[in-house]
Amino acid sequence: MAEKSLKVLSRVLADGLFGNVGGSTQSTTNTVNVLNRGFETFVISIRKARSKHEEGQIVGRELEALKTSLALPKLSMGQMKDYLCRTILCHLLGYDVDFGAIHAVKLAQQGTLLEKRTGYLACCLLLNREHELTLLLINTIQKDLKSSNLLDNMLALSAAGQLVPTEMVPSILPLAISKLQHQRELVRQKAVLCLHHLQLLAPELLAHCQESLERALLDKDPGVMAAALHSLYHNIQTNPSKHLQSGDMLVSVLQQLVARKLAAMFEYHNTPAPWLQIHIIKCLSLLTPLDDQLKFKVSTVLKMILQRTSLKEPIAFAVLYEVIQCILKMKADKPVVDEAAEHVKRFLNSSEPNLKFIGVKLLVSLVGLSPEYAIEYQDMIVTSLDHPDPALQKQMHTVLYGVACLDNVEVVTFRLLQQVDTTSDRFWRADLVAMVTELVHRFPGKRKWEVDTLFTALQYCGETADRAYISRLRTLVHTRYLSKQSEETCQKYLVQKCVVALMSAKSSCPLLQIALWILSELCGMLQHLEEGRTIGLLTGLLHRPGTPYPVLVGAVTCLQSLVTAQIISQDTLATTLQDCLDLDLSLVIKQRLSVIERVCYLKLTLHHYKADCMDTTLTFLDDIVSSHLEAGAMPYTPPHLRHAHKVLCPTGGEALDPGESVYTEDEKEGDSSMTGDRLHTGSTSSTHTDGDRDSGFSQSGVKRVWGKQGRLDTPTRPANLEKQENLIEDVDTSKQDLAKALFGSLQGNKPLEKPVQKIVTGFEDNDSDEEESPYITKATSNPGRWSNMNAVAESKSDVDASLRSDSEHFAQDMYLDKPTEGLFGPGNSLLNEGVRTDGKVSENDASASVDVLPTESNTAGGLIDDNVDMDLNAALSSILDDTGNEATGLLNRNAFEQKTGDAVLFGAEFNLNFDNSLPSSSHNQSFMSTAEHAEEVQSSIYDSD
Amino acid sequence: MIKAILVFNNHGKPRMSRFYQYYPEDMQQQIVRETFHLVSKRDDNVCNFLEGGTLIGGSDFKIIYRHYATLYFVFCVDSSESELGILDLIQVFVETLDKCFENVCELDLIFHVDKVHYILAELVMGGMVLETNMTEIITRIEEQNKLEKSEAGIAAAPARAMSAMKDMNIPQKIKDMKLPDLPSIGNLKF
Repeated sequence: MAEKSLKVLSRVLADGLFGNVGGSTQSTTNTVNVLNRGFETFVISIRKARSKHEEGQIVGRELEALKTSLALPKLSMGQMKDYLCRTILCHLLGYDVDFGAIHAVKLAQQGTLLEKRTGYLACCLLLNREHELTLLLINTIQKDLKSSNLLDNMLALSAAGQLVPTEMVPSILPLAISKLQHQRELVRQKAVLCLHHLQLLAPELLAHCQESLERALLDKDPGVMAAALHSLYHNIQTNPSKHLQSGDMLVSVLQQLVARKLAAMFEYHNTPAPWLQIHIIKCLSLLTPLDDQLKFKVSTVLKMILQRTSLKEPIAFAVLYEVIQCILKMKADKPVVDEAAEHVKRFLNSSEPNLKFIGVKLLVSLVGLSPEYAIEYQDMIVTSLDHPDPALQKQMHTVLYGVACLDNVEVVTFRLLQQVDTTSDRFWRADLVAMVTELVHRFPGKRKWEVDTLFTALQYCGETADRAYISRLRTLVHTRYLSKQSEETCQKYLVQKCVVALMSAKSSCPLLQIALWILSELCGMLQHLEEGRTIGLLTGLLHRPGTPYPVLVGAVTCLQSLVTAQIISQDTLATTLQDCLDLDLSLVIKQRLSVIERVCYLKLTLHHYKADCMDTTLTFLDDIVSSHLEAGAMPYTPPHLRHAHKVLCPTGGEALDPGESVYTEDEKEGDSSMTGDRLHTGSTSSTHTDGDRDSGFSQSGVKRVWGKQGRLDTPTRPANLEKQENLIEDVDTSKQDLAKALFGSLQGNKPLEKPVQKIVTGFEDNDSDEEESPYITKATSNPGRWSNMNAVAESKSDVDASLRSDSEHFAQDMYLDKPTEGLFGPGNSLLNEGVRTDGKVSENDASASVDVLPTESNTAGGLIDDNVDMDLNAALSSILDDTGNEATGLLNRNAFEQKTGDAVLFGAEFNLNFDNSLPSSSHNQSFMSTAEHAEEVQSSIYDSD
Repeated sequence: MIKAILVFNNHGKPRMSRFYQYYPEDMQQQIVRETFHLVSKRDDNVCNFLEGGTLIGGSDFKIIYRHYATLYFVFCVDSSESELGILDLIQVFVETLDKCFENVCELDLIFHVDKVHYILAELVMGGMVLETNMTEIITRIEEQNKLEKSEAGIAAAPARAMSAMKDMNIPQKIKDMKLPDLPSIGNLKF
């Protein structure tokens, strides 16, 4: 090693710094060598450093020296270049070299060629698009793009692609485009890539030069073409159908490549331009599924490649891989796929680990097309599941996911969950959990198994679960277990699992979220539980420090449901909740708790109003709005229109700025001064927003009540609701039909699938001798008796022994008695619901009977999850709460003259009567605005969530 | 797209790093460390691909690496790149370095920080593969060196440079050059 370093040193000494001797004039050669010596000693001293600390000291000293020498006024460009090289080295080692950036910019600007190149390099390494010094570089880049020297051009193009900030793109663009016509392919190539980068930054600015970029595809130099493919690939990815016409061109290029029309110098290990081929095939694989004609052409070329490829070099395999992927992606005819499958065998049987890995990737795609291709490799799949290489293991589990069917789904999910447990890669874990859920969804099995699997998956997925996953899971749980047709035993078991999850201290956040949601849906099942325990279960979560926000929301919703369904007595809850109010909880939670507490305190009777649909149009507010408009209130103007309104309507000092007026009137409470002008602009603005609603807002299951011209139809509310229910039933039946179609066809395919399943299960039996069988026996040894606690404990639900016995006891408590009739409807949370009273209710009218109105989340479709409930909740309460913020807008101004200050009684003030005659259409718009405003608040809460 | 190209030695000391997507400095160091940690614990007889790192791109992220004697060459790419293609690209890169430095070794990378970057710049530009033909890359680098030499003295006369450049249609000249099968770098010890 010493010998080698000596050799290098001597070479460095002899050459000077690479290329430097030539670059510097005779007179400076001496100084350069001196400088080089300084650089060497620096490098050698760093290498000698025995510890990180020692190295830090040496580098620190060097950086200090660099800082002072770079700041010297009379520095030759050669010296500067050398100092910058040292700076780059320090940067590489991870030290802070911010001071060098300005000098890098300077060198790029003032140096010639060699120095300039170093300057640009240092800029690229030390700066980024957002850095302020980048602006100083723009001028230099422009100058160098105009230069007649192609080296300058190339340097500037590379730097421009990486460093130019979005707002400076226009200043570079024309120069860069002109370089597409440069006579040297080197420059053209870089210009194409530079433009591609600019395109990624500001696509709209480059719309006009699309054509010139496409022309670059036909460049006579293959290098330029390869560069242009990057941009084409990107375009195809974003919009495949628009670029369909380039397919033919790509095919013809590929044909020529395969026919070896290109000069021999473009061959790499006997394969003609392999990277170009790979790239073209990638593009084609995106295009072929869209066009049958193209598909035919492509498959002929691909077949040709398959036949010609001499599989000796790894790069030939790289091309082959793309070919096979393309064939599989475009769902080619069976003979072609079969041929491709033959080639997959060559990958899989290879002793080279890289090729084997790629082979497994291909197998994943192959199995996605038809599981029967896996039969051949069953031994390999089984052994590879425990392969020492995690990368391969991972791919194999994906294969396993692909071959899952009704017969083997239990084993597959078991293996997948095992993998979730062992892996430390959170992305992989999230993928696995999603796979398991998908399998449970696709292949319904025993209910108990399903529930166990879902709960284990939830426990594992931890913090990685995203909203989309949670809401998918809710849909699944709701359609399968919470609908009216679901078996009661299954629901009991579900509740049992939820209670166990709530008691365990180690349950993950998503698990708790789902458990709380299920409990609030099935709260009737908690009737036979001791009251104190039920409350304790939920308030325990509130008391536990560091409980995540979504869980808190879930707990409060659950409490609400329990109160609404009269499962727990209001007295007990009122006292318990008073303690909770002193806790350090977020404002929204506290507010909701205090609402429940008030309800309990006032002993309000709540009736369930059956509704499956969230009424996001807030129709129940119509009457208030209309009555107040009639009384002369001002229509609501959305905030974004208030400024425009001011311009439109310059009524002078008399008229207040509408934006302002909202606030002031908020404070004044019920000031109803308005002018004709305002009414006019107000209504135009709301027609405008109405148009917005037409285009952007649609929600299945929610009937649209308001159109541009006013109310669309005039049914009375109950009829309306009936329709909605019918609609939902329709959705349900259509879902069932879909399920039938999906699984029916699967069964219809039996003759084809049967052998597959048989063999697949066959190999699992072999394998399961040591692993799966315990699981299966476990599953069968606990038949039906809902004695799942063992299973739960064994599957690591972290319930410790005492807790377990506790929960068993608990479970017994619950099911001593006969099944209960759930009082609850799908709509259950108190606050979500509009509240109806039979008339005006004065403050503290404790006997007010409050009807729960239909704004419940669309649980049937599972479209809206609990968070939305919460959001609407918050939106409503903020409207009603008279906090003086914007949300209160119109309502505050108009509706709440008789203030009670008691949040609970907001329902009373609403005075909502849906059976009433409808408001006249002239008031519609103002109402629409209110609804929209509520939505706005909702979405703002949503965003901040 | 290639997100980053890293070279570090068996002890995890960075020898070259180039990020094509912006990360703050401390993040860059962390990425180097994490990548080293992931790569160094892998056997030589397992595949050279890793998927799903936590730092760079999440699940849409692959590490493709090669191990030569004392150095690891690591490419961090997204899912649009071909694994085997990149693997051979690393080979091209290393072979080019080997040609340019006559038996490249770890020290060359330190002493010629800038030069290594210039070579890489011909291979990859802004995360996109620019040129994959080794002879072409070497030609370009030599061409540029020569241009610089000749231009340094005659900076004011670009016309001459242009004519010199026209003369050098080198791709044709070296058309029949044989590529070496594999570099000798694999056996290097120092």
